[in-house]
Amino acid sequence: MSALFALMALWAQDPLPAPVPEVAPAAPSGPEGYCTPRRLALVLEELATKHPDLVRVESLGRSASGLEIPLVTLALLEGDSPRSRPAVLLVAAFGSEDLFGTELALALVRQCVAEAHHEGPVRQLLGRVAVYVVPALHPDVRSQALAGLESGMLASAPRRVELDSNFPAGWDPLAEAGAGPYPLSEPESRALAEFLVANPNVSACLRLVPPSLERPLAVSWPAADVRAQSEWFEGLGAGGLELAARSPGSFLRFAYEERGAFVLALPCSFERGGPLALPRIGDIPRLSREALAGVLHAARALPTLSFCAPTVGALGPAQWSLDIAVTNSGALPTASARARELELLTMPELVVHGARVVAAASIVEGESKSMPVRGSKVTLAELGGGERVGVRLFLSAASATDVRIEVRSARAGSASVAARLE
Amino acid sequence: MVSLRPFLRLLVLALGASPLVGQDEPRYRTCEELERSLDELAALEGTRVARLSHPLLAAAGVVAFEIASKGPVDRSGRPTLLVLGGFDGLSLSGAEAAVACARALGSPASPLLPDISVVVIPCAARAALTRYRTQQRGDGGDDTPVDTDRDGSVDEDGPDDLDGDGLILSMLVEDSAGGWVLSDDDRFLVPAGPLDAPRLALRPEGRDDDGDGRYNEDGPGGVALERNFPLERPAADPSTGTLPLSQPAARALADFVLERRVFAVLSLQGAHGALASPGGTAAIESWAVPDRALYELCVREFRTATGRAQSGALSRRAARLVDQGGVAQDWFAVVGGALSLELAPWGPGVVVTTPGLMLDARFERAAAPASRPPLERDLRWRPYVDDVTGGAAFVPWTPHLLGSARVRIGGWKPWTIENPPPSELARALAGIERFALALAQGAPRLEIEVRAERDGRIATLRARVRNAGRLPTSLAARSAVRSHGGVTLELALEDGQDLLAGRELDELAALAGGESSAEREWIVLAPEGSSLTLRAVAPWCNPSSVKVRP
Repeated sequence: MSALFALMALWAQDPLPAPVPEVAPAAPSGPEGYCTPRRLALVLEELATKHPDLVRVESLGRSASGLEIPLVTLALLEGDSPRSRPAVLLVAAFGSEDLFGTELALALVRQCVAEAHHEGPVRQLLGRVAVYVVPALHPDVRSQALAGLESGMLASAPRRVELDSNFPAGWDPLAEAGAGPYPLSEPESRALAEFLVANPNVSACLRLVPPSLERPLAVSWPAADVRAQSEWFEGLGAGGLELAARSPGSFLRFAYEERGAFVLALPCSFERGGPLALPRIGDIPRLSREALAGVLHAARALPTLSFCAPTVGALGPAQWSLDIAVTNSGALPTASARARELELLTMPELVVHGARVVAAASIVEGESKSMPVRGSKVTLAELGGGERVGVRLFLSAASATDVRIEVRSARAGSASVAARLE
Repeated sequence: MVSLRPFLRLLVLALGASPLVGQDEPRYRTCEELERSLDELAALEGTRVARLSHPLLAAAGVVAFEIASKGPVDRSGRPTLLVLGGFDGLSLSGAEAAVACARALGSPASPLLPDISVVVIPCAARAALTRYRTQQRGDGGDDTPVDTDRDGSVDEDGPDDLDGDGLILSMLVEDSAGGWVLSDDDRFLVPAGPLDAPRLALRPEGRDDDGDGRYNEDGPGGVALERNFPLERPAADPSTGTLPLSQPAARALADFVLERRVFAVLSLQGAHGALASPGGTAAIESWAVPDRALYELCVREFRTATGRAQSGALSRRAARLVDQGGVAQDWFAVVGGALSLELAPWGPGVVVTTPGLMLDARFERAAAPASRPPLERDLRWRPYVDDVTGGAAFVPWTPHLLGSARVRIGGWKPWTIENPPPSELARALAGIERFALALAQGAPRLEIEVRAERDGRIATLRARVRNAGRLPTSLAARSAVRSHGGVTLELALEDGQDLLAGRELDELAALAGGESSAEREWIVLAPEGSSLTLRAVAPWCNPSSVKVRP
């Protein structure tokens, strides 16, 4: 219950959601109102058509039987690509145990759109981050399960490969019967892994899971990440690294161990009914609100870079010092310790436009230290959550030159500031 | 009119059998030349060689040849020996050895059994081998651009020939963070201890092209296909790929092994000169322990075929003197369930020095306390460089000024320790084809020995299964994909037959070469005149069945 209260408390920080924009049921729903893969695709397509500024629907790939695996991007897209922004990824419905995830994820997308449709904190948030949602990673299982429900013949054929044991980190075919002949042997898991590799801006990966009574494992991963993770979700009742550690070959373990993303399993508590253990249709709005609260919490915590106003000093004819401070205003670091261990990401860098960079120094507690400069670029260290670093740039340019300083980071997006050298 | 065909056949067999290919000087052939030589062989009447038309391999650009005699079982369903040449992307001698195997097994004279198939991929890491041959050096990586130093640029700081000697060797840079110091033999390096100086960084020869203060840390290529497999793959090493089996050729090969009944994989690669069993890491080495006797048997065959002096079974990490995770050899064994062997055509013991040919490069040193003895690998190669090449295989470290940095350039010359000089290639390949043939001929074969009696409608059946091959019917180590790795014996009942005693489906233990199972017995109620069928199946064997009329 503590998880529920915590999520509800978070939810209360945001205004109540506006009514969900009407989306006509373009395709017949599945049995008892649950969403078939076809209906899911049509509903998402309609959302994207109605809200092109907010919703983009693409294909993550195709399932083994050829069904599309939809990928929803929620972001206020004003010309820039979502890939240039900090991002969170929510993946639902890996198999028969979490079929409910699709209903919740779809409702969550609709609620999020409804909120972002109006000015407010959610719209602002989607103006600087991207939220990726995969509502049904395994559409084949959903399709078979709902067909079985409709026909009254629920097949319980043994599954050859469990998607959530088919990821590379900790993959162990000798210990896990459903691990598959090799990691990512299934098109669904491969598509998801390739997406994560191709989108290094994803800092946090989330799953919707049934509540678990299993004891979390102690983890031996970098202490800085364990600390950042627990501070991030303290009080939510959600599991993170310790859950990933317990699940060899799981997506969350892969996301952290091989891609250095922070991970979170959002527990969804509901009374399970029927042979597919799906929530009642009437419970879905409440459950998806809770899940959305977790997703928005994750999105708010994403690392985000910003500048304070620069200070210019003259050093001599056409030579200048320019003091700036770069801040990570998110709760999460610009790269996890694991990502740094793996050297997965390019370091954050400052790029100076309009002047030649002669040298650069970092300023920490009044002490300055030379920084590596390559052409117009100055490499910064990764910044922890809420951390700020001062940089003194030594520039060469004619007087009254307008310069622009840009800071870029794979996971924290970019920011820029302008100054006049005079 | 006299037919020229027999003469042409002999000519092609003779010319294509060695890497000479009509050249004055021995040389390594390109992948195209190697494959063309097998195409020419395949075109000859009477050979058993054909290009393998397999959609997965073809789509990934993998060129394979299948060698099989005519027989009742379709080739694709037969137990298959897979021979991979140079899958490590370095061993051009492995590619040549694969072609030599194909030629020997494909010859009409070779005693290849009719129920076996051999698939040979001469250039299993084509791009890497091509680059190695052209540049006389390489790291086994393919052509995939990899941002090795994670600076956002790819392949921007590769090696250069700094001293203009026409060779790109190694370079030592004095660096307080370097991990090496010179050993007592000042040609070789050893890891630096806490108080050792001067500390050295070992880099390929070349300048700091991207000005980041590091030398040649992001050169051309690539992903090493043979290390792009799962099982303890080091995710932090970009040369193993962004994801396991991310490379189409590696994945196609994995799928091919899963699809076919591959009983053995012979990877012709490496520079240790030995036959290595699975175990790129300690964990896989432990996994392979139950099959120790099998690997000892293979080493005995290897000694007989090649005349090399290997005393016993060696895991891959013991042979290579380094741990490597994510290697194909281990996956072929643990998941593919195959007898997976690495045979290195070249190695320090391949050229045996004889007293009459000694060309000592150095005088005997006075016995001095060895504070920094060279590493085991260098000790193994030292007799070759000193006694065989008279020191010529190694360029001494020579000072060079690189900007403001003092560096030393030197190291192993090309065609010394990774691949033999072309003049030594024939010696390196000697006997490898005999070993491949022994593997193919040793494939397990199931035979069912049955006795049947009848008393009215009651038939009694007694049977045992015998493995008529030299190899066992499967690995003893636990399989990742099979719940039962032994022999399955099935009594197939017809309509009107009832089993009164015994099991319709019996799971027997795996059988060693030449071993017979314990006898099994069935009592069946069967109409007079009807027959009974027994069927035996094992992972590495063609199914065997026998029909008896008691």
